[in-house]
Amino acid sequence: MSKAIADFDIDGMDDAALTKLERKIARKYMGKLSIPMVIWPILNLSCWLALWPLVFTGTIPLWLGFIIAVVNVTLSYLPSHEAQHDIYARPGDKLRWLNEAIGHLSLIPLAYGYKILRLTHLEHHKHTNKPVLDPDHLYNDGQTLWQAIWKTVQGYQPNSESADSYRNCMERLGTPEAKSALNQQILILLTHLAVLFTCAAYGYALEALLLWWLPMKLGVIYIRIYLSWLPHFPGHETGRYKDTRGFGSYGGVWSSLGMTAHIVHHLHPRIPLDKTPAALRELYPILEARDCDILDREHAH
Amino acid sequence: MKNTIETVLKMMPIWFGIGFLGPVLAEIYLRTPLHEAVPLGLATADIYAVCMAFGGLYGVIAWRTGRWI
Repeated sequence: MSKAIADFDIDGMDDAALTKLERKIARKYMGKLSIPMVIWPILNLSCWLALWPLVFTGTIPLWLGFIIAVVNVTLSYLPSHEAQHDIYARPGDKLRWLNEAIGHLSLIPLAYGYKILRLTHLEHHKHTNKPVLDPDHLYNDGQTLWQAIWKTVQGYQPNSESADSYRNCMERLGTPEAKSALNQQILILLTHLAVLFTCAAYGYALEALLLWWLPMKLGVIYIRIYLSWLPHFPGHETGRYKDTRGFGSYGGVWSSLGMTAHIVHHLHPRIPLDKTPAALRELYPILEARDCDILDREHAH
Repeated sequence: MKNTIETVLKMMPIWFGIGFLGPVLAEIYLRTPLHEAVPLGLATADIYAVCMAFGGLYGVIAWRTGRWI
């Protein structure tokens, strides 16, 4: 796929023609199993699980395990996010088991439930940037980087409003699926704490702190900033072509884990993550015509 | 039964303080050069007990105020 930004002529196209062309381009990137996105969660989870015996046996030092664990935890969300959108396989497909397996297993380092993240994320797509209805809104309305980080830290407090936003979303949905998702999340939280307590009881509290608890806190800050706050900044625009924006990242598109192209994901959620930068380049003229908040061509990547 | 579970879950900061934060503080003291820099002259079990009591107390404060920091 070309790395150049597309420059085809859309002059004279009306709204319907633009929509038709946009869908035609988007369809090119959908429907095929993305092998990198299958390998990603397998390698990431294996690496994180391997850290425990490697550190416990002294094969690698704890400080090195900590650095790798921060990377692993940070990388653990996006494969599940792909599964939340049925990108690996849709219900009834032959590889549906793979979709569900990746959805659940890739989240182990984050100690979060696939079911609750799926339901809240779909609500986020349905109501992006709308107060109350968008479960991520409380995290996304910070106007500076520091405010955004602080809002995530506030989410770690026992009785914070933002910590309750996912639970409130489940209660608002009120379906048996939402109740089950909430119960699953409680079970995962208790299991996570049981592992931490057990490690502490056997004299491995520092290992548990630096391989799981602290990487989780740091990883979630990165995830909240890059996967949620930056793409939806300033956090109050609504509408299909307005609620998500393009932005630059100093280290290029992959330093943001592909989030500089997050606008493509909100327009066409079934495009695999690794294909969104190419899809963005090809959709550029249409997004410009739609007056989307995207970077100037010379700054886009 | 449901109320009991909810109460236990709401008091999670206390369990976290005793079960994890306390042992973390104890290990930071015992497994780093800190115990050489600041010798307290206490047995390992006593260090754990003091740290777990501190963790539990901090957990009570977090539970009552709704904030760790």
